[in-house]
Amino acid sequence: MRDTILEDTEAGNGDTTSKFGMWLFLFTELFLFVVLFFVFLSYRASYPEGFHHASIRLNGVIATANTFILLTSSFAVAISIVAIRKGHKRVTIWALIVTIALGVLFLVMKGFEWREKIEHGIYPTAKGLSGLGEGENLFYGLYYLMTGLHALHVIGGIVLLFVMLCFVGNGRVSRGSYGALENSALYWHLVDIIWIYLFSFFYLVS
Amino acid sequence: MANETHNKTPGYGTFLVVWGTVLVLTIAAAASGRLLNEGLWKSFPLFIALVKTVLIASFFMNLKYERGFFRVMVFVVLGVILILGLFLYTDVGYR
Repeated sequence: MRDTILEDTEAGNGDTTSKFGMWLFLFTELFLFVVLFFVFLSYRASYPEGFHHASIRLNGVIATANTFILLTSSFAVAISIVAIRKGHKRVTIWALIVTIALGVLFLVMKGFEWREKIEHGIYPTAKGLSGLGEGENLFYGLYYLMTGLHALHVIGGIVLLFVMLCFVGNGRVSRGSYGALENSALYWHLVDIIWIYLFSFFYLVS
Repeated sequence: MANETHNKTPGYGTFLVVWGTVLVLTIAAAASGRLLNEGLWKSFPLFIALVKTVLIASFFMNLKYERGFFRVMVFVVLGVILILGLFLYTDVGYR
């Protein structure tokens, strides 16, 4: 598909300093999850059977649907950047509304998944967990910790994008100054990338 | 001007293609996670995750069109993660 590459040489739009700061922040967030993934992999090496049995009990359908939802939300927020660069304010606003709505939908689906597990007595400190092996206990502990932490990041991203939506609405973020929107989108994409690995490790590879 | 940048970004069409690709890759990952459970194939969903990450980082996060400085920064961080991962693997593997 032929496409136009948009160029921008205006000061402030791709403000290198703020973008540099945002990337540094993203790296700290990345390391937070990388450490948890390392913990997951260490325990997985020690308890491969327990992790396997725990993994197949997770709801892969909801997780796959959630992956579609987050990937689509990433696409929508990327579209909002192109739209603001082209000066298409209405498209920007709708793209952000779609992104936020998909973020909320992701949380709702995650809530359903958690509720299903909790109803089966699988949650931290539950008596039902004591009947399971050590590997399964560790798996579910990490599952709630990592998906919960990720959900908090999704909530943070939704709040951030809602602020951007207001800023686009009142003109504080516009074709001439959209660095804040670009940085918020970077954050949202990182949240998406982290979910891709949560999905792979918890639902597919274990 | 100190803050002046030379920044590019692709248009709607490129993002549409990338979006379609990552969705197809997600289906492939979900299917392979259920069907391929032997040997190295078990890690196939992780390979797909890596490809999706590269696509999202390159296009959605604009790294492909970003200044080289940002790309170098990302590679350095990924290198550090790789080294830490190797230390972890060595530690766990030889316990």
